[in-house]
Amino acid sequence: MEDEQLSAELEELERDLAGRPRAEPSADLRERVIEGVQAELRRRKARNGWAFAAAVAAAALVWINLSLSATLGTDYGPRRVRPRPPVDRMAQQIQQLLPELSDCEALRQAVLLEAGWDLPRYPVLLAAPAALRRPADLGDLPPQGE
Amino acid sequence: MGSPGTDPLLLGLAAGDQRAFEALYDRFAARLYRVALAMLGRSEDAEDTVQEVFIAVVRSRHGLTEVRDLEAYLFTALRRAAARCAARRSRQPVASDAVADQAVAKGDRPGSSNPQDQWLEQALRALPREQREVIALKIDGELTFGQIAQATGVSINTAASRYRYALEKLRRVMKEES
Repeated sequence: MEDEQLSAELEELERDLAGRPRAEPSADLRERVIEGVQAELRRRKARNGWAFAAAVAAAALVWINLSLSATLGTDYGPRRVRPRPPVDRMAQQIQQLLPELSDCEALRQAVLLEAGWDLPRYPVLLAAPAALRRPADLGDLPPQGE
Repeated sequence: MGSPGTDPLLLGLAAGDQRAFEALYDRFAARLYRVALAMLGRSEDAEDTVQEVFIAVVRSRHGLTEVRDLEAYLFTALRRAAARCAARRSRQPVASDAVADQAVAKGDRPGSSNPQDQWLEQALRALPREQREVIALKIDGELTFGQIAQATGVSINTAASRYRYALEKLRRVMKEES
């Protein structure tokens, strides 16, 4: 279509149109446009700077959050050291609380307590006790030791 | 003009190099201004529109390396900016054509002592907006029909037909006047 020939009359008209005096923008338009371009470039740069700062801050917050979660979920962070009472004293206290326990059983419970003294905290189950009941269709667990 | 991604001007624009914007201005501003003036009819509106085109180029500069035809891209942006300018002037969201027509009818082109030129200007103002636009893009913007088609969102055949009809109508009007 670019090569479509116009009639001689239309070609002459086209030449007349092209030969009209050409309007030119005012002399200060160049300066105005370039100033506008500079201002826009500066604005964009500043906006990019803020966007970068916001991204860094968000990344830092996520890192701190993950670090805290990891620290609180493991036992190799700084922990409060609780004084560990001797096993025989713990056994005595258990027997005072539950006099029906034999000496041997009280000592066994004290040893178990002592063994778990330094274990990290475990998550607290917030479910209602009914939800923790064994489903009926699973039946009874086999006796321990089998 | 090189291929997309290799044209130094496009690469400079994409990088935000001020000298590239100056080169862009020197290469295209006069043509953009003439087309804007033909569309809007007032030199201050045409200048504002040209400035708006350059600001739009700054804002979308990162995508410029993918532009295949910078001229078509610029004149597409010019058409949009001119429509926005006409809408602002009318304080109505869209109906820009009627306002542009009114402004063009008054005219703000440089005066010419040649009666033939004055006649031509009058005849041009009598054309429908679409035909006036295609004449402006072809004669003042020096675009090819392919570029006009891209800028106006029509097919190449439609752009070329519109141009021919516009010239025929112009010739008819001038004959009637004479």
